[in-house]
Amino acid sequence: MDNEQSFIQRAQKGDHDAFAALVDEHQRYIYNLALRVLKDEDEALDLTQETFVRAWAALPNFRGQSQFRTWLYRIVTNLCYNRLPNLRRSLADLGDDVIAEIPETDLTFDNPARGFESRELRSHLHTAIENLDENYRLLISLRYQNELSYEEIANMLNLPLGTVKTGLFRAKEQLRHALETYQEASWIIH
Amino acid sequence: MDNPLTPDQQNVVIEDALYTYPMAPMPRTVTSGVMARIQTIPAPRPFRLTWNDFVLAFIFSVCFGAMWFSINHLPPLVVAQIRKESILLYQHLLVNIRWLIPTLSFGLAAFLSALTIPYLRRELLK
Repeated sequence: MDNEQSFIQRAQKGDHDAFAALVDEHQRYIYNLALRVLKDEDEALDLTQETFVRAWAALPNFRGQSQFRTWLYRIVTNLCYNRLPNLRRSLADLGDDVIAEIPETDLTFDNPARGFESRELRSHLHTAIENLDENYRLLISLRYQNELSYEEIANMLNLPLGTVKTGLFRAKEQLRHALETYQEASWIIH
Repeated sequence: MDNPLTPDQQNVVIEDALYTYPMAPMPRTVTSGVMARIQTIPAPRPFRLTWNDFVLAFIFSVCFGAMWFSINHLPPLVVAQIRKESILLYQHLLVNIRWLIPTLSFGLAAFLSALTIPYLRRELLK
């Protein structure tokens, strides 16, 4: 992290090599977030490049109040909003009426995924994640791939905390429905 | 899949899938593309106050202070004289140079429009 701080400071002074190191370090995460939302490799690559170009121009304004990567996520999300005009509205329309607290599941406790054909289940659920709406894919990617807290996501997307929790709750409900459908289909086959 | 999963087990399976959702490999690096594009952008300059800004701010403050002090300490006779002269000048402008204000307005509008020509040309030639 200290190393990253020094790269950021050098890049803020106009050092291209330091900025190239930052691009190398973060591009995979930015690309993945763009890819999850846009579902198009070329567009995701294009957006990743655009994100870093904008980051370079805005680098003097980066004060280190958030992590550098979170700051980049904010830029890429804004670019996604431009590409998908309905995304911002669909996030805001989630509301915050479903649940106040989402209990975190302890994955180490009696993980049935290991006992129940875990590979197929996972694969089926990964497909289900890809088929979720773009607003849910964005929230899931930020929460689980990029491991941001609910507060960080809410702050980054400029949404109420309850909306973020509601969005993730609904996304999981859709995955639960996909899981139940899969189970029913398995019964019929067996 | 002999037994249906309980809601708790479903939660675990879903969380497991969410946490193991794989990162996609990048088809190619974007570093060279980014670096090529930022070569054309001037190096970012952080916002900093320089000594010049402080000196200019000091001069402006002194000027405004001196003006305010002078206006408040002028003899009443001089103030009345200035007021009379400014009213006369205003009347003179109204009567004799009526064309000045519209001319200045149109001139300014034409000047500002002309400033956009290089940008519009660049956009058209893209």
